[in-house]
Parts: sequence; C-alpha cells; structure tokens
Amino acid sequence: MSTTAQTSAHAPRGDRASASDREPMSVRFQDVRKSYDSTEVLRDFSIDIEAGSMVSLLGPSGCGKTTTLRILAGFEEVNGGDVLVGGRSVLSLPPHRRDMGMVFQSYSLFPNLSVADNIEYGLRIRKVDAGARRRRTEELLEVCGLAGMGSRYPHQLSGGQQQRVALARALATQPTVLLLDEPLSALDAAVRSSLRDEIRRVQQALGTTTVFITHDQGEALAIADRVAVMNSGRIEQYDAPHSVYARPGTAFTARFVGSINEFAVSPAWAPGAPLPIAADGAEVVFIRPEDLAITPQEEGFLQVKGQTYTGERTMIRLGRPGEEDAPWSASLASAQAGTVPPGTRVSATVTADPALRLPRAEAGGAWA
Amino acid sequence: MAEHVTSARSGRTAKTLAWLPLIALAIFILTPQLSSLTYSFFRGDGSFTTEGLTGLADSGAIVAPLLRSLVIASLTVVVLIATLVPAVVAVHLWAPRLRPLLSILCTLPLVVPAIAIVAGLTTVLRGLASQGRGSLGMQVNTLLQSQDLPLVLVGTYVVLCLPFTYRSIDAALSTLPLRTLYESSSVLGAGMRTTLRRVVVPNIRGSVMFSAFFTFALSIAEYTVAATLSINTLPVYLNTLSSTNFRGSITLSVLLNLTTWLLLAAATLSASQFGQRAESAPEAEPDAQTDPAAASAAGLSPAAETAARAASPASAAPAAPDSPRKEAQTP
Amino acid sequence: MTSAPPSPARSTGEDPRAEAASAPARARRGLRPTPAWAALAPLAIVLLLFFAVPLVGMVATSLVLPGGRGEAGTLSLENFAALGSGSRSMALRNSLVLSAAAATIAAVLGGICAWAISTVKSRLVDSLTAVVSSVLANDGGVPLAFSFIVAVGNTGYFVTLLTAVDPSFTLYSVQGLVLMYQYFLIPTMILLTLPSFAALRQQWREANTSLGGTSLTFWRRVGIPVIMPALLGAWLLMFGSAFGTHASAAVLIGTGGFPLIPLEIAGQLAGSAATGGEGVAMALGVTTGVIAVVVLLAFSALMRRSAKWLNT
Repeated sequence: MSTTAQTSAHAPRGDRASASDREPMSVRFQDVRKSYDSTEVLRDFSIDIEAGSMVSLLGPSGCGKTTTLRILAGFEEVNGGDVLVGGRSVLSLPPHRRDMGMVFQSYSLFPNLSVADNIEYGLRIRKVDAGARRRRTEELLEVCGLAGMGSRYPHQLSGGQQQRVALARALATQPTVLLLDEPLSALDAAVRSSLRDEIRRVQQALGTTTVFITHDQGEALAIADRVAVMNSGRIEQYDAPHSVYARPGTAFTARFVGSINEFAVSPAWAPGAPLPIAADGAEVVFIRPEDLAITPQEEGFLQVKGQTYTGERTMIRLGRPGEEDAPWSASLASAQAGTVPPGTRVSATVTADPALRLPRAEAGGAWA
Repeated sequence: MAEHVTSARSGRTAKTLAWLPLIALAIFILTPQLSSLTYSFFRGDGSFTTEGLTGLADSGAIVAPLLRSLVIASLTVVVLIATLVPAVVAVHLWAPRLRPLLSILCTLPLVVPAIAIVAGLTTVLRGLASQGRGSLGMQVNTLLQSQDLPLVLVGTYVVLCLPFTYRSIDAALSTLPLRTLYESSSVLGAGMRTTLRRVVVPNIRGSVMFSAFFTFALSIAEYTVAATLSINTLPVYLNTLSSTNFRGSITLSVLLNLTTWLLLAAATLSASQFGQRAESAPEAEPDAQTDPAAASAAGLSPAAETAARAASPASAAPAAPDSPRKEAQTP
Repeated sequence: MTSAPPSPARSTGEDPRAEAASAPARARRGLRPTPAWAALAPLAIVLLLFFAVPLVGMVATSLVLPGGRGEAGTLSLENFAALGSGSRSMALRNSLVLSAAAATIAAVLGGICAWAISTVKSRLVDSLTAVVSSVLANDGGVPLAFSFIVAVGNTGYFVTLLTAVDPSFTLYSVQGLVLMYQYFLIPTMILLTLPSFAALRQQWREANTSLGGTSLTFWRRVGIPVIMPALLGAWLLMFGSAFGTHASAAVLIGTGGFPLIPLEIAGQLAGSAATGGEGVAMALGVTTGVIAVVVLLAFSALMRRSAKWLNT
C-alpha cells in the first residue's frame, strides 16, 4: 500500500474511527478543460470549494456537472488544468487511491452483500480490524437513521433506505471529499425532501467537504452552503443560495433558478414606477413573481389567464389582453386570489428591486 | 507502477484484451463449417470437384426424404401457429390464472430430451399396435406413422418447438395492454374476430414470424425422433448416405446446415425487428399533457380530445374514445 | 389440465352487452363452451397426445414387468435395478462424466466470452451475438457431427493440431464429444449469461473504486458473487442439454462403441421387441426425464435469485 498525500496524514485508524478525526479538505479546480471527441464539456473550468462546506453544482443536463464530479473522483481524465484536494494535485492518483466517498443516482449498493457488509466494504479494503469495523458500522447506521437494519439486504429496502445505506457506505472510510451525484432524483417527492434534510444534517455533523450534483434548483438552494450554477461547461454564478435566487448574475441564472418575469423597460424606469413599458425598451428587467403586485383595473395592460393553486400561495398567470399566451406570473396569497378571477384586466407594479437588470442586447432568450 | 493508471485507461486495456476470446470463438465457430464447405468441393489433392453435388442429384433417392421433410416442416409450422397463438391469447385475455400452468407445460419439453419423448412415443405406439390387426389402435398407429405423412412427427415437433415459440409469443403479448385494447375495440363495436385480426395479430407479428421460422428450421433438421421411429426424413437420409457417398453427404450436410442457419437467423431477426416496432407503438404520449393546469384552468375538454386523437393512431388499435386516461398510464 | 372455463366476471369482457344481462342469463352462458375453451383445446390435445401420454406411457412401461401371454404385468422396480449393471451403468457413468465435463468447460469458456462481449461494447459484436448464439445454441444435429468429422475426424483437416497437444485425441471419444458439444454449449452459455454480465452496473464498479477497491476486489467481492447464480443456472441447463443430446452423438459414435444414455435408449428401442429391453429403455428414459426436471427446478430457483439481485 503506497502512502499518498491523503492517506499519509490521516490514515483511517482502526481503533477510534470518527469523522472528526480528520481535517476537512478544500477542493480546487484550476482552468480544467475536458472534451469528448470534438465536443467541449468543460472550458477553463475553475472553482474553489472551502474545506468542510457543501457546494451544489446546479445546471441543466449536459452542462458538465456530472463530468466535473467524475473528474474529481478520477473516473475521467482531463485535457488540461489541474484539480487540487487539500492543496495537492490529485490528477496522478488512480481513483481507488483518491479516498473519496461517492453516492450515485441509482442505488449502487452491492446486491449480494447485507447492509452492514456494504457499509464495511471500504473498511475491509483498508484492512481495518473486525471490532473497529463493527463499531464504525453501528455508528453510521445510527447516524443515517438505519439502526437495526444491518443484516438486511438491499432488495429488502425502499429506495430512500438504500440511499441512506449508500451514504453510510460512502462515509465509512472518512473520505476527504464526499461526492453526491443526483442522489435524490430517483426518489419520491416526500422521501426526497426528508432525505435531503437528512444528508444536510449528517454533512454538518461530520463536517465533510461535500459536492452535490443536481438539476433541481429547489434541492440545490435548500441543501448547500454555496451554489454553483453551471451552463455549457462554465460556471455562471457561484454564490450563497439566497444570492443566487435574489441577485442572479446572469440571465441564464435568473431563468434557471426559480420562476421569473421579464419586461422590457426604458433606462429611466425605476421600481415603484408602473409597468408597462415600451415594448421596444432598451433594457430588460427580471422580476420574481412575489415582487409583482397586481391590481384590477379596466385598462390594465395585462389580463389574468388562469390560476394555479399551490396551497398557501396561488400563481396568477398573466398575458396580454386578447392573446392566449401567459408569459408572466404573479404570486399571491391564496386568500386574495379571488379578487382577480381569470379574464380580469390588471395593472402591475414592482415592489422590490428587480433581481437583475440588463441591456436588451445582453438579455438573450426571447429578446435576442 | 499501476500508480498512474486511471480507471479510464485500465478500461481500455480490458477492452483490447476482450477481443482475444472473441476472435478465438469466431475461429472455433468457423473452422468446422469452412472445413465442410472445402471438403464438399475439393478433393484431397486440392482439385475442384462438383461430384458431391451431382452425386446428390443423380441418384434421385434424395427426392422422397426431401419432400417428406418439407411437408412435415410446413405442416408443423401450421399446426404450431394454429394451436399456440389462440391458446396464449386466450390465456392472456380470459384466463390469466392459467398462465403459469401454460408456461410450465410449454417449458417442460425444453428439458425433457427428445430421446425420452420418443421412447415414450414408441411404447405407446407399440401398445396401440398390440391390440391386433384391424383394431382401432392399429389404425391409429398406422395413420400416425405413415411414411407418406408421418403425423407423429408433426405432433412431436410441435411439442419440441413449444418452449421457444411460447416464450416469444407470451413476451410479445405481455408488452401489450391486451385487455384494454380488446375492451376499447369492443366499445367501438368490433367483434372478437375483428379485434384479433386487426389489433392483436399485427402487434405480435414479429413473434409469430419468429415461431414460424424457428419451427421450420428445427423440424427440417430433426434427427433423433425420425431416426428412432424409422421415418426416412432428410437428416436420416443424410446419415444413411454417408456410408455410400461421403462427399455427397457432407455436401448435403452443408446445404442443410446453411438452410437451418438462414431460417434461424431470419427467426431471430424478425423477432427483434418487429418486436421493437410493437414496443414503440404504445408510447405515443399525448403532448397536450405538458400543461395540464392550462387545460383545466380554462375548463377545456378540447385538450383531452387532442390527447385521445394523438394517442390512438400510432398503435394499430382503433381510436378509443375513453382512452386518454388509460393511454396516459402507459409509459 | 385442458382449461378451466373463465369466471363469469371475466367472460363478460368478450361481449360488453352481456354486462347488462341478468344473473340467470349469465349463469346459462357459463355452461356454453367459451372462446377460452375453444382456443385452448387444440394445444391441449397436442400436448396430451404427444407429450403427456408418451411420458405417462414411459413411466408405466418402466414400472411394469410384462407378464406371460394374456396375463397382466406385475408392478416392479426391476427395470430400474437393471440400470445398475453392465453397459447401462457404464452409459450412465459416461453420460454423467461427459455432460459434467462439457458443461464445465463451456461454462468457463462461454463465461469468458460473455464477459468479453459485454466489455468490448461493439454494436456489430452485439448484433452478431444475438443472431449467431441463438442459431448455434440450437445446433446439435447431424450436420454438426459431419462438419466435425471433416475438421477433426481421424483424417480431418486439423486433427494434427489436436494430436500435437494430446496424441491420444480422437473425435470418437469423450474428448471428441466434449469438443463437439462446445459448439452449441458455448453459445448457450453466452445466451444465458450475457444479460447478467450486462446487468453488472458500471456504478457498482465505480462504487468499488471510490471505496478504494481494485478491479480484482470488485470481481472477488461483488462481480463473481452477483453473477454466480446465473453461472450455476447456466451450467445446470448445459449439463441437461449435453445429457440429452442424441443426434450428433449417434452419428459420431453409432450404437455400442461408447455407451451413453441417449444412445443406449435408442439401441434398446431398436432391438427391444424381441429382447424385452423396452422396459429398460423406458427406465432409462424416465431417469433422463427426472434428471431434466431436477435441472429445470434448480435452474429456475437460481434464476429467480439472480433476478432479485440484478433488479434491485
């Protein structure tokens, strides 16, 4: 067994295994390039992930987020740039020496092994003695909410339970970095949100540096310390969840995270001044549905096209009178939704600063 | 040393290594076939000859067994399709509880070797014959074993082919929402026969063709049963021929083998080709589903109607007015 | 076994108007032959005549010792006892050895090939495999024996290659039969185990790697254990297939040269009218059948286990 940068400093010790033994490590991508054949997947991709933090990579499918994770894990080679963990390059290390924990989208539990054997797998490879293995396994079963299930087999578990086991298995060896590849996408909605909170709790308790891949923006915002929004192999924005939502840096982020209204305005327009706005306005403002206030008005420039009741809030879909499209929406407390039944003409004002304001030429999308 | 090998690179090594057994396998498969082919047309000294081929035609002894085998194989195909398809459809439609039983019955011949079945047949046929000249048993025996049309072979071959053909047809029917298709077709006023002809059969065409090719191939090359019952079919003749005209028998064997292979290849191909088409048919998902809220908020049924229209024509099933809900359930 | 009439609730489906019919009317309809009956009857008759009756006849004959003229036979296991002696016991031993050896070699070689096919991931190889392996798995007839005679028979084109390795090699021996049986057993093995190899998920390999395992670790701890049921099942099925193979063996060996169970059955049947060997032949047939059924049961149990693992 060779001693590598990671294992020499903090080789897992059989006698007392607890995640707090190990200093969390930072992760850094430096101008990483990656292409398959002629398709560029990552273009000078750089990101700094603080030790002990949880970062989600958020983006549509094909944006390169999974490739990023697989490069970090060692399953893909890079065409250029460097990847550092704890300040040292890991590119020359084969994947089984990188000491990372990984949880996959579809439960990747070994079907022939019991839950306990799955969790012990990495410890066995590291030749940890049986007593320590058992203690560590018990501890993880407890932490991951699986107490008493050690002797079951994967096919006897629900999807959510299998993912908990996968998480426990990945954590058992006290990895330097925990990699989660869309771990919740195969689960039911209810299980998804509870397991999401669970993962966050476990991560915070153990303080493991974690990279979480998802295409679900709600998930990314709820779980991470920082969110990296990715698009075509680049990072669009790397920020705290509330900033990504409230102050998107680019039109892509504004459109991808949450729902958003886009209006063309003149450069002179300011929040508080009424919409509308000249259709040929020189700037585009991006406004969240909850920041759009509507009032019934005979000559209102918008018309209510329909309502979607979601419980506490109701989405009011808005369009131009006489047209069928409903490109805008406003979020109302459900109690007030009755005042604007479908067909009502309304006027709109903006109650907060726009999430983003761009010259029309830079707004892209339908404005291009 | 393996320090710098990433999994991607070691995967490539494994991939290259993996070609070796495949090449070896290909050589093993081709050698006997090419040997036979060579032997059929070249003498020991390397000179070309067609005497194997002409020898076959000259004697004329081949005609009777050849015709006999063709008749038996054709009849077996007809009987198999005519008995198996209705049975499997019926079980799927009306008696799903019988399906495991049918499945076991149709799989058993796979493991009970032909030699055991023919042993049983022999004892039964002898039992019939022992009832004496002119008795009913004797007549049945004579009818079944007639050299002109040995029905016993047809029946036995149907049984021997059941395991493979049953699986194919059963699998094809399982992918169809048969009961729904049948009910929606009935609602539209189609009788059972029309439904079977226009809806069920087109959807399992691939499996039926597979069954036909497969059965023909197996029946024309079967040796054990025919030889044991002393019925001179083509493979039996082939074996007899080898003692008098070895080159001729090898030539015939190459031809027979080629026929069998082509038939079996056709069977496999038709199963996969038509199978795919049958599977892709029901996935005509109504596009109108994309915004269900819009449709419901507007209080519209037109959207639902479009969905029904979009969903039905892709499959061979006649449009079913009550189907949008059901269609939406099929993935 | 023919068919049970479908329950009234189900049979209404064949005619929607009948759902409106009154209960007594429905009861009357239940007595008429339904379409299910009519559709199942022909297959049932074929199976009865050409499968059930022969098998029952075989079992009956094997258990009965013929009495004298006009007397009823007596029930006895003597025919089975006769299997333990002479050429029959030799045939049984030969058949067991031959089938086990052929199945084992095919399991190893075919398993390697199935792994290779799942590894190269070539479209051409995949489609060739689909057609060729299902064609070859059903090959075992007279032409196969002939092509082996031409290739590696006593004066075959390539026999010197084999005698160079093993001077005692001859096609007309256990080694020869084992070699020939590989021709249809290896494709059978590929056909049966390729799905399992393909179902070994890439993510299992990657999970193993990220936990620090090498590919050796993967195969030892996960890969082999996971496909083991499928491998064992395939071995069993190949054993059964080799055990029952008659045509190609008959052409190579004829009767008598090298006793095997299927050849022995055929031989006993051919001469039995006079010698009274019919009962023994039937006992041999019953033995073959019992082995086959045991093989099938064990096979399906193993496959169920394999499916449970691979589909989680």
